[in-house]
Amino acid sequence: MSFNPFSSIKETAAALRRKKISSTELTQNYVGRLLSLGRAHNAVAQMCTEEALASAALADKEMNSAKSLLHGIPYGAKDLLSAKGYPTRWGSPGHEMQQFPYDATPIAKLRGHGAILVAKLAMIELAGGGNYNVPWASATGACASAFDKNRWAGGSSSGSGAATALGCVGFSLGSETSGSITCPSAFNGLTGFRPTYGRVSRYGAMALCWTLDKIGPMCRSAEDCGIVLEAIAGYDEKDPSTFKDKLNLKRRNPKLRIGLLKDEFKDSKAEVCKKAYADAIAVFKKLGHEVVEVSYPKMPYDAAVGIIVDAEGASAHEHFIKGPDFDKLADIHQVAGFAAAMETRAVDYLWALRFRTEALKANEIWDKCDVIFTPTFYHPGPPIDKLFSETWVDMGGDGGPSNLLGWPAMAFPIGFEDGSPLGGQFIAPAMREDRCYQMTIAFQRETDWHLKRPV
Amino acid sequence: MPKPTRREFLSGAAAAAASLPALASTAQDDLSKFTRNLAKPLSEEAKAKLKANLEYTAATLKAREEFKLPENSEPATVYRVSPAGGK
Repeated sequence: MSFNPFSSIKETAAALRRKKISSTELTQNYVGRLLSLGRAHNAVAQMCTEEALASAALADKEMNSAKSLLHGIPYGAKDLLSAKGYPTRWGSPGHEMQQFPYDATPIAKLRGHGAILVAKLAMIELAGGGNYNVPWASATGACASAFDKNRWAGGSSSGSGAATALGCVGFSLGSETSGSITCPSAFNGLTGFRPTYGRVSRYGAMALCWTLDKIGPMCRSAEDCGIVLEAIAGYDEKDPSTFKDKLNLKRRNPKLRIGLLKDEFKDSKAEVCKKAYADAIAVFKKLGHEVVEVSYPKMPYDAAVGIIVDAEGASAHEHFIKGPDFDKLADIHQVAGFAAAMETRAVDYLWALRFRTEALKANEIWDKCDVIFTPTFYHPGPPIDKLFSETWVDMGGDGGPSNLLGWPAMAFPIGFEDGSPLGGQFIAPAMREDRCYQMTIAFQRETDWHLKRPV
Repeated sequence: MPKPTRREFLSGAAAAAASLPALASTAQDDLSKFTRNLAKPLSEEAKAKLKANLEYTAATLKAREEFKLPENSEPATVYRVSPAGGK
């Protein structure tokens, strides 16, 4: 087989087993693309070439006894995940020398599956803690969308989004506190899987927010996301927030009822997205799914998330904030934001945690529907050279409780505007990743938006 | 990602801050509380951003004040007692 940078995991695994291509050849090809395309889009934080090639050679030797579909497949990980032997800079110019002598659990699990870590991928510094306001809030500069270098790739898992969509890696890992997997997935035409909070171990991942952070796959299809999530999910005694409930993406479901948020597109002029959204709904209706209008109970979910991110983020990074390298951050808004966040009052933080108990009432929405389908954003990524406060207009986005309550979501492409992808997403109740997965798999069997590639 | 809420809040932050006099005056007059623990003084530009940030905080806290929690409700956090270990 000639090298196809956009092959699915199953296609690549089959080619490896039939010796149509070797893991070493795959790795060399992906390294080449990372160094050219990946670097050109500012998607790469750190190449792991030497160890990747050594691991690929070993994978080739062991190919006949390979047990995992991921055996021998090169991937990239957001530079928020520690990997033994390499710097882990968290996207921050103030953490240039940082290195941890151990693998984050998701990296260790993928190593156990024989996957090859070929690069650490660019990210917004400190995953956006302190509240970033510019696309270039990163040690590696502004990361450009795979489809348009004049547009931002999204964040904070920027490099995971751009590099995977550009075919620089077989798949990637990202992380989300509040939108950091779904946003770059939308802006790069990827399928991104935000698992339930506690599904994937955060051990070895930078903490922005201990009670909100999730690690998940960013891939070129829902099927690939499922394979990767199955590999990295599971209880980890090193992360007390992980749970023992087993992931079962193949769980049998009746025809799922799709909830549409009543207020979606209210006052919005996003005509292109409105049509893409309507077309996607038509696909689900054709597949026999019932569609119902729903709404979240009106509560200040975003205020609670904001307070929690400020309080936990300031605590997690207190040493850095008080240290001599704090002013090295690329975005001065984050410097100001962290300084302010350091003074978050205990009563306000505890209000947010008490509010989270109240917000559980939002689970009543699952009496009316099984999944919620919504646009990820109303438009593609904003311009790469302007402040978000100038450009983030009529973007929409999930203002509900899904991140606060740890619900899973899968983002995937549903159309294009001006040559750049538009994303939709399924949101499901906690621990029901299977619903997001099965609905997106069904959509991607009927449509080819996920097969569109950057020129 | 940038929190959309932040920009939403920022757009209405000044009005919200004005309705919370104590917080607004803190934001505009005295930044020392927010900079005292930093290793280096903030630049003038950073101070300006900090003021804007405090207005955002005021707006967030206004939303928090407006939502009444039930009396005696529990925070959604659990301290798990674990075995002492040792011999």
